[in-house]
Amino acid sequence: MGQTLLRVEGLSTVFATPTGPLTAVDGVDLTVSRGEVVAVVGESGCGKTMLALSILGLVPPPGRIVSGRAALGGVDVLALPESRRRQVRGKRAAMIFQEPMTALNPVLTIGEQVAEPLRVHAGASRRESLAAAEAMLARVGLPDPGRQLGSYPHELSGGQRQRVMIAMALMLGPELLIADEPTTALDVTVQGQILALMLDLARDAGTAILLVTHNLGVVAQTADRVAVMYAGRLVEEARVDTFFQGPAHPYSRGLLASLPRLDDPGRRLTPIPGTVPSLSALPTGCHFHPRCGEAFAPCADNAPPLFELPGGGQARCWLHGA
Amino acid sequence: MAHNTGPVLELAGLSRSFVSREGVLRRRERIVRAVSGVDLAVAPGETLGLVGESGCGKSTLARMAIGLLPPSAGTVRLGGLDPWDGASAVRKRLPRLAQMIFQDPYSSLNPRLPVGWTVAEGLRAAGGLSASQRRERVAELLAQVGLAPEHARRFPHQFSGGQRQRVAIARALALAPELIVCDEPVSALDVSVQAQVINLLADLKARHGLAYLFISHDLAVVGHLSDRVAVMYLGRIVELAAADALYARAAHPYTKALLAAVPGLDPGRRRPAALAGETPSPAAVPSGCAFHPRCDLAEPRCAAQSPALTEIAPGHFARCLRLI
Repeated sequence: MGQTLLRVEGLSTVFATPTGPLTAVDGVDLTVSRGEVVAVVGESGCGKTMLALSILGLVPPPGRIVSGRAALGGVDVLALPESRRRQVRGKRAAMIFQEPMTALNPVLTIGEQVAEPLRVHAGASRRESLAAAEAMLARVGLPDPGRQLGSYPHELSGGQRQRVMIAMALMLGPELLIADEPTTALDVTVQGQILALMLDLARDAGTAILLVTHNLGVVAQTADRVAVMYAGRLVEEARVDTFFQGPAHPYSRGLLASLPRLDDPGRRLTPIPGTVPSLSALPTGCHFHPRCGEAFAPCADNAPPLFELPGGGQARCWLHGA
Repeated sequence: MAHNTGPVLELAGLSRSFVSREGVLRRRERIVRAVSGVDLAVAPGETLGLVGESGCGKSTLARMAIGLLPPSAGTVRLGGLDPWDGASAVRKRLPRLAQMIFQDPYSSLNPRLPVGWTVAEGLRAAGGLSASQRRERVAELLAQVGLAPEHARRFPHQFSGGQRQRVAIARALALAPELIVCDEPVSALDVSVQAQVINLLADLKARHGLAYLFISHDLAVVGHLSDRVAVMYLGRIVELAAADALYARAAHPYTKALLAAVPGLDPGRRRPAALAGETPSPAAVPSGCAFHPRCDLAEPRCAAQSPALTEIAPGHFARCLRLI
């Protein structure tokens, strides 16, 4: 892959609660190269969405980024004043969400919303921006785009709304697209269409994608690299092909063994025992150790660092320590 | 269980329509045909999987199967009994024939009651047990689903999602029913916990000879648990076969597309999108074969003729003119 586009270093996001601070994102390091698709995968509460929001400085209160940087093309987005950060979010990075209905404005037409980035950030006229919006809606495969310019979000299906979100996000040709569970609310046949669309358009424009998902199948089908999160920490990072041949972290292995598979329906599933810990009661040492079948002496007391793996990639597990 | 040798559940010509009021003044009425002419039977000890995408009518079918929703046409028979019979003997028998578990256990458990009370609800209604016998039975039920007796005193919010689904399963088991209708029982759970609940459902089936009507949008989960699988599209069963036959030799173009759309775990085999377009609204079901506007193989006759569900191989049924 090419040159580094996004470099996240030591990023931590903490939520102040009446019972004490909760660390939602705990010292995450992550890079995304230009044009690369990196998936962040994990179960609910692992911090993957909060990581995505933190990178663009969009953490909702009472959350707060307490340390780290997120450099996009060498510029630390988090160190910028909010006005400049907004410019970055408009032009260089864009985000799409799981439920487009909540991200679209229900009282504005599709045309106005898709055209807006061009007017606000590029100073285009109303007529120019609407023409560009129509062209973009055609590219995302919305049927009858000229007429849909005047439609409202509630008049579209879920899949069509997600197409509109993709059109809006790609309007200014961002270098980075952050997509948070973009197909989770969609039916499986529509999911395939939307993922293919997002990947095709991004590839054409050279846009890198940071894809947040809980679905390992989606990771396998779309990403170049994968980062696995557990309880706020990044626990494994690898190329997708090596990861699916044999992940290094016991949590990653547990996730794959838990999945029912179409190609092996009779196999008894091997679940991970226990449940995902609450952020208010995280285990000491490696957060995964109480559920880990391979835990040994150091795991309960000492949090492992990310160890480099011989075949590339990294795992936060003492099994891979020297 | 011994006295019932026929199917635990038999649906014949089952249909359900709803009237949807639309427009600003809600004066425009449209008939939504959620379920159309479904014939299905579940044998004792069998798991029948039912898959389909949102709006295909699978949850409406589930609610009719358990007697929660009256059909517009057709019949439901649970252990040979009509849930809408109204006779008190039938009403008393129904809870021992079939129970249901839902996608979101949080909304199906009373938040103000300790879960032991909820699990014992059916036992109290059925009568015949003393309070201490009921407590004993609740402890036994909780143990069967992997919870401890002291969990009976806790409230739903004190449990994780997976544990709450275990509580809902314990409640469903309380009267030792022959059939449990499961409507997306693991869809709200994280993968690692989902596998625990899937294994639990498989173990309970083996131990009690339970039958399941197992409804899900997730083809891998359904394939994992089911003996036979029915595929639904816009209110109709479009294919029905033994699970291994369906997954190995899917015949209906919709089933094939559905299977091809599941993102596989092999990054070396990336597949293009399997199907164009989106499912039409059940208020505007296309003429002829309802799938024809999205079907690559559609011929002119597919728009005009509505195919019947036809046996194309022993025990393998499909609703497609091109396969007849």
